[in-house]
Amino acid sequence: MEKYVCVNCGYIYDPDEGDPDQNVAPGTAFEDIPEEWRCPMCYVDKSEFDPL
Amino acid sequence: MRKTDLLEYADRKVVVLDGGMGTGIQGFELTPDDFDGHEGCNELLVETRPDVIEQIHAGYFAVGCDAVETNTFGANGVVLAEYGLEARTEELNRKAAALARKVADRFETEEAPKFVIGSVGPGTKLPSLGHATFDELREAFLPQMLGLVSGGADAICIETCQDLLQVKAAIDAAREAFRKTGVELPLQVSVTIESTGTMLLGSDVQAAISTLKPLCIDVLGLNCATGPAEMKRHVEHLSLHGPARLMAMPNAGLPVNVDGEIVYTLTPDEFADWVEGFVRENGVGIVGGCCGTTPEHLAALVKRVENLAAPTRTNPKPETRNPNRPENGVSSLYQAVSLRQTPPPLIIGERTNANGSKVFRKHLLADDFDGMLAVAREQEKGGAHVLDVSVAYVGRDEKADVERFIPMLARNIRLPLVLDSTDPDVLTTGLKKHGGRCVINSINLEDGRERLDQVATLAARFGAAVIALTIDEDGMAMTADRKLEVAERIFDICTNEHGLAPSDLIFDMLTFTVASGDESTRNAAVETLDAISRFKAAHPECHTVLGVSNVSFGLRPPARRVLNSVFLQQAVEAGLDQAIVNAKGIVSTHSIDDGVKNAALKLLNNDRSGGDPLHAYMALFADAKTAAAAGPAADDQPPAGRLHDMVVDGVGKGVEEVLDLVLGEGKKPVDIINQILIVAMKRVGELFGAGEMQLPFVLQAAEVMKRSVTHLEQFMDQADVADRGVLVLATVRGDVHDIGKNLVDIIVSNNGFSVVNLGIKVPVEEMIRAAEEHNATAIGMSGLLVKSTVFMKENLEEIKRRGLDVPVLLGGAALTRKFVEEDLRKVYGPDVHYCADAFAGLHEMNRIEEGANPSPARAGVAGAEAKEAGKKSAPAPDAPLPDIDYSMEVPRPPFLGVRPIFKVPRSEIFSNLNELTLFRGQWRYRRGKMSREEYDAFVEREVRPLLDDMKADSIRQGFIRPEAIYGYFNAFSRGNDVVILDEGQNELATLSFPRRSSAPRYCIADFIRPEGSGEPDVLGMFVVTIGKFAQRRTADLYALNRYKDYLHFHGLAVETAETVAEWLHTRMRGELGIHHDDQQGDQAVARQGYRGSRYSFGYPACPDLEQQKILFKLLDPLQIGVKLTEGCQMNPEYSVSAIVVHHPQARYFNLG
Repeated sequence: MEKYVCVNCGYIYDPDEGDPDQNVAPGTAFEDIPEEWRCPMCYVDKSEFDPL
Repeated sequence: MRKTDLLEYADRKVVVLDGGMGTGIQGFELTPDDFDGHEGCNELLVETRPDVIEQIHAGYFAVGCDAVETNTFGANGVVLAEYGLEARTEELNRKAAALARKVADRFETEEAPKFVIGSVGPGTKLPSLGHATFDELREAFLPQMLGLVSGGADAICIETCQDLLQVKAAIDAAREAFRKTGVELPLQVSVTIESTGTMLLGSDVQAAISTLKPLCIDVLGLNCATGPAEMKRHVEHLSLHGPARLMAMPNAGLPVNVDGEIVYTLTPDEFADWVEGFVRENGVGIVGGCCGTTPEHLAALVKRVENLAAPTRTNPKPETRNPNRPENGVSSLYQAVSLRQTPPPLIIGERTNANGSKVFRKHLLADDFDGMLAVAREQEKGGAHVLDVSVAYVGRDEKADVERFIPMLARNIRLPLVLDSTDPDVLTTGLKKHGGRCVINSINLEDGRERLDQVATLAARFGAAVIALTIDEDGMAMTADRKLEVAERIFDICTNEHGLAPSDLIFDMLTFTVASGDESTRNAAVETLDAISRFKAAHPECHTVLGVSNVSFGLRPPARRVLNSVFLQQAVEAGLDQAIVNAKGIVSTHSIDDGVKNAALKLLNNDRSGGDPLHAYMALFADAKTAAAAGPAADDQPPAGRLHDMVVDGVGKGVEEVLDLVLGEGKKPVDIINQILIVAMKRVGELFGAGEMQLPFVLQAAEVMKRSVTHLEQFMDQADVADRGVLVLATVRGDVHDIGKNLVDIIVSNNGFSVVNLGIKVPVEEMIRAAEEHNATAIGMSGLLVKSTVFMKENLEEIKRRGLDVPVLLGGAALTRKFVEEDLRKVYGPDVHYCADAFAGLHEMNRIEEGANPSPARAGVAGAEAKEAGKKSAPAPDAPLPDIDYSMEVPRPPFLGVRPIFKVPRSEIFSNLNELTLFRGQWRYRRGKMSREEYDAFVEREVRPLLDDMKADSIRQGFIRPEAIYGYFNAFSRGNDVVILDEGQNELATLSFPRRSSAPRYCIADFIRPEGSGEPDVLGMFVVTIGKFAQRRTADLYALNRYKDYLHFHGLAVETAETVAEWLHTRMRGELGIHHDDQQGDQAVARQGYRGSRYSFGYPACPDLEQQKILFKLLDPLQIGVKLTEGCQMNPEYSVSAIVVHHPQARYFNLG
């Protein structure tokens, strides 16, 4: 599973960690995150993420 | 006397100058005290730390350099004014020159003289872009020149030149200083050719040669911007076409980033290899180094060339005031044009003349300068090489019109100009506004010497060529003998008394109509041709020009066209070099019927053998259409495919030639645009949409598109242009963010639509007015701020209220598709569209134009989101407040109050740039579908070199100048407010923050100890900026249509400002003693891996920009040049403000 970077703020989504604060369980591939998910740091949407 | 010294020495042996001064200064790790409160003002060091400068000079002399440059690169009135030191310009230059002279004396011996070269850098203003006037720059340089002369410099070197007009102002100041002091020093000029192959403003090397050689400088050369490898081809060109003495001072290679430091890579030996080649292969006699070169580099170079005699070139004798120097040509700001075309003649376009062209006059009288510019563009058609410009018209202020029109021509037209006026004052005004080499039109002896002397003096001062009319006190010369008599007299005065070169002079032997029936002018053509051939035989280096169409005055247009064409051919055969003519009014003589041609020749030669030639000629044209003119020859090679590929590949060089080929096929400009160029841009859009093309390359393609359309415009009527729809585009009220809107403008306008770009902070009234006026296809609104989305909603309400039925496109970082398609459509109806990027905007424009409905796929997405929205949990205003711990100790700040930091080390800032967000976010080089390896290789190959160049460029040219101001205050919270206290613990100000509506219901005030809970808390605040020069640079790049550079520089500026903010935040954590919690690693900053938070107004946790006013009142950031706009945003744009909270629970959150 690939890590994805937020091109707006630099936050990197790591599938091993997930994003529990937004109900994304560890082990969730970026592609499987719901579309309404936002960057936990700067709140831009998924389209602003690029595979690292 | 000294003048001879250095130049004589240079004529005997190779002269080695020194290497980098800035590089040397950096090595000393100076403290703010060393600058006496003017940190960054290196020029002040000659006074505050003369020992440092002495050591640097001595370091170069010690390795055998023949000369050093004074530490005065930025010591002109404009740059010193930035430090409030402008009144001391002359003094600092004098001290610098004297200091260098003192060191030189220590090393000088009988056999080895040591020289001091007065360094004059370009300053920070580009006159060709209107940043300063010629006279302002001249005044700024004059005290510098005076100081250098009186301090004992042996030569003046005007270097790192970016704008030819700036060079002319500096030369003018130098000559004034020489005149005032009676000491004439050698004058060296060194221009900077960027890695793009031109000077910053687009002038190529030949334009620089053409413009500067006639100014009789002693040495011309190149320095900075690139290493010697990249400089080589320009040195070769200089060697072939430049003046006698050449110089070169390259950087030590191109800069690269090694562990965050800008490093120049060439070793001393590699550097010396190249520069030795300049001497041996290209005849460069004066050599040295620029950025990144050290005494070690120069030592290596000295070893290679110390025993070499001065190199010889096949090229010309030394420049003196009056040599028979070769033809210099004339030049626009961009390119030179030889005054002798092969085949002749050089065509001088005559339509940009208020007395000669009705259309041009109409525009002038209507103050429609864009219309006047369009006439100029049209002249580029059909092969005009140079434009004659005259705006003299009864009842108008000619000087004011010239002042306004010449800069427009200089920036927009690639052809050199002939400044046509009878008023020396107007000519002076024009010459001061144009960076290239102009022709003055004209001088004569009608009123004796006075005016001729005035204008000839101007020609010498500005290096212009000049047209001389054969008119004297007795009137216009009619016979060949009289024409020669007047021409010889003017030649004598100009060359012997004014020092003009024969090749600077263009003689107009005048001609008169042979068609008036008046016996006295029946021989007019014969006399003129005779005069031309006799004068050219006597003065082959002078030029001749003729207003050809005078010969046919009084005839009907078809008859005129033929007679003009035949006469032009005769005149060229007699030796005519240039013709003032409407290029469209000339036909190829091959295409003229022989009978008609013979009749024309008889008329011109006044051959009465077959009766009256005038009657015979007129009879031929009496029955209207004698089909004399022939169409252009067809070309059988279809270059349309090449044109398409050039746009897609972003190759601009030579696109005009290919366009001309397509035009030559008979394709109409409109069809070229619609059938080739727009199709190519569509392909670009597809590639972008498919993730196969990165945004910067899209912009590069758009640059080629723009260049192509600009070239085609001259062949098009106004009616042809506005073929597709019109987009009225604006950044909404209260928002200053430009780039997103401008990217839409670039993409949409380069796909055939017209864009009315209203700029930033635009009230809805203005949008409505523009939409009505231009019958807009759609209105586009952009805005980055959260608040902008509110204005968009209000704007939509207003547009609807006014009953305007126009589609609206919305874009901006704070917008979402859901917000637009749910909330805003409720307000406005279905015709408001979310555009995720510029191509989405284009897509909508195409769709609207085709009258299509929104595509089903998009409707599907909207539907899905609408459903999603239904599920979203409702706000929970009654949810419990978060539990915040106030038990930790309040940190001790190092001071209370405010302190500025005037100079933030740029190298340190750049080394902490976040390349992930820069490359992928700002610059939009996404990895997308590439493999990681492919992407990394792509970045190393295509992207990082751009960053390295841009960083080095920004430092060298001073585009990025970070400054900061920050402070600490005691504070406590009171509900959602934070109350700021002064040092006496009195209430100073109150900041109010909103509270999040869902759990946990955070408010920034929660992270400050509440009122009455013991000792007050500590709050930090700061404003950082990278300065106004960055903003100006962005605007310039956009104005120059350098779209890709525009995007790149803007992105770098945004990220740099962010990096400076993080640098200061880190420093503040250190000062507060909470830095022990700082995490390390790539994600530390992105994930707030530190204690506390910094919150900026306008962002999710505190969107209210009004609060900025309080922060600005407390910090007074005007000290570092940052102001608040009416909409509470910062100017310069590349600035960051924040409040700094130390509480460990403080984190970013949004208000949802």
